[in-house]
Amino acid sequence: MPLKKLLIGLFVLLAQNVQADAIDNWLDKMSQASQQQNFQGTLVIRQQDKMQAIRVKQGITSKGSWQTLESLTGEDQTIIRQNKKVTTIFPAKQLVTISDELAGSLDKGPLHPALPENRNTLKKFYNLKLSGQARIANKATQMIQMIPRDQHRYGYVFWLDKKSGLLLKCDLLDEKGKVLEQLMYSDVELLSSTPENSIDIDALKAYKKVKLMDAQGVRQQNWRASKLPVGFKLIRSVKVGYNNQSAPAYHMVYSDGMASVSVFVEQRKVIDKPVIGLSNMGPVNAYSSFMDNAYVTAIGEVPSTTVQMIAESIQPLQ
Amino acid sequence: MSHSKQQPERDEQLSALLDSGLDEQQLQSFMQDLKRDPIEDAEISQRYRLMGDAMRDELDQASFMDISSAVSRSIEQEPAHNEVVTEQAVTNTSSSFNLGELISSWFKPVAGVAVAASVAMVTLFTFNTVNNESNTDNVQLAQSSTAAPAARVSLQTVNPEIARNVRVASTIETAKKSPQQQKQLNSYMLQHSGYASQTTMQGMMPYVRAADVKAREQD
Repeated sequence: MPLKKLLIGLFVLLAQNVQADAIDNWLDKMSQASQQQNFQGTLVIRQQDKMQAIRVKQGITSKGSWQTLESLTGEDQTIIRQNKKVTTIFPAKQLVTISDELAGSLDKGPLHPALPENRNTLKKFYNLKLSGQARIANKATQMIQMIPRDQHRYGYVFWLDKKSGLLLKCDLLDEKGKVLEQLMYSDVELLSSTPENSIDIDALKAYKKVKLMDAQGVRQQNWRASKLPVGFKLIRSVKVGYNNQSAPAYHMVYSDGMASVSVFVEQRKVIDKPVIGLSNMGPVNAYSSFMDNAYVTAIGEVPSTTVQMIAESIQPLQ
Repeated sequence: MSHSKQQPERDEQLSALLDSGLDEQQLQSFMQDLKRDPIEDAEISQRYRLMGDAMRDELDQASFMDISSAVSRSIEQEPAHNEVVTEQAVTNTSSSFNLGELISSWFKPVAGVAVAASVAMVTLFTFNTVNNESNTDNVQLAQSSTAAPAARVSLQTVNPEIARNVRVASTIETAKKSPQQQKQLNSYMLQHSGYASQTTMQGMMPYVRAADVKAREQD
């Protein structure tokens, strides 16, 4: 009997290792596809009761990668991302905004959610497992679940094109397993060369142009969150000139590598009709309150209980 | 930097050159000027080539990569239209350009959801989902940690899940927010989105979420 149990245990362990290797292979494939695959397709996004469609194109060139997201529903707008620059075109307003992403950010950031290379760290907070197979955008896909190990973060389900590894569908699930946000390609075309773009550069000449600059904060930490979900680390803490107020304001960002929470602390003496309590926009939750004579707001794509827990734990550094 | 010709005139000449509209004399004159300021003219040359290509629908991948630099150059060279907006200015209501007004309502009271429209969209999506997932295995969301609540989502029964979301969304009591309060949350959201897209693996999703702003504004 003990021998039988030992053999069963070894078999289970072996099976787990085999699945872990298979998952890593799939995730490698997904990562490569997100950075190296030329494609175009129609992405349908659902958030709660909202649905929108976006025409997506990705081109890979010797100079880097570019993506365009062209809205097919609602207001006509196109987002262009080229390496570190994000340009947004609003034809109805005859407006172009352009912003540089942060220095030191990911040069080849993914178009869709993807997993960081330090997966072993992430596996401490999420359980990754292979699931079933499905057909998305007329392509056979492999499903991978990313299940949070606690109730402080959301879960994900990925559907990867079996052939290319491209992410064709992604569900963001709340702590109860309900779908909060769903991305799915209704059609996708894998290309051997960069897709043609339809940006009318000439028309932009007449548009009003606005350059959005990042708030250049001074690295400084005066506040801290005493309660954080396991794995969330402080990745940014700056003092910023916020809301044009002379009183100091601070912006902190905590992340586990997949989800992130921003915490804003303002020390204005008077805040006219401040937002108090919970707010939400799709999967993004915010919680605002007064702590130690400071106005604190935590905001992020995590459950509402998490932003509330973090906001209520904000303390001044001694 | 000295210029023998005014900048607009040189730009016009360069534009004509790229469109093969200069005669020999004009070409010689322009080439003389080009020698005096090769770097700047090379950049202008690239910009006009880009625009020329676009007009001829011949935009190739190399020039496409320079869209943002072309826009940047255009911003720099058009002071009359140039507004450099910092985050501080963006959130300042007295600013001549207020992003908070541009994207006025990221956070809408959930109770204000138009239920009829929601049902129509859910129905549409459900149709797609059922077709795509009809042979799909159930997704098990059993947690490995005992601290986490176990949950189970059946993709074959995703319709009730979505419908439940709609019912929940239409019944949640959320205090109505004034425009000022919405601007306040918007400004937080803007800053957070910028960092979420770069410091985490959310990719372009924060930008995609931003694309939904106008639709929410029109609710």
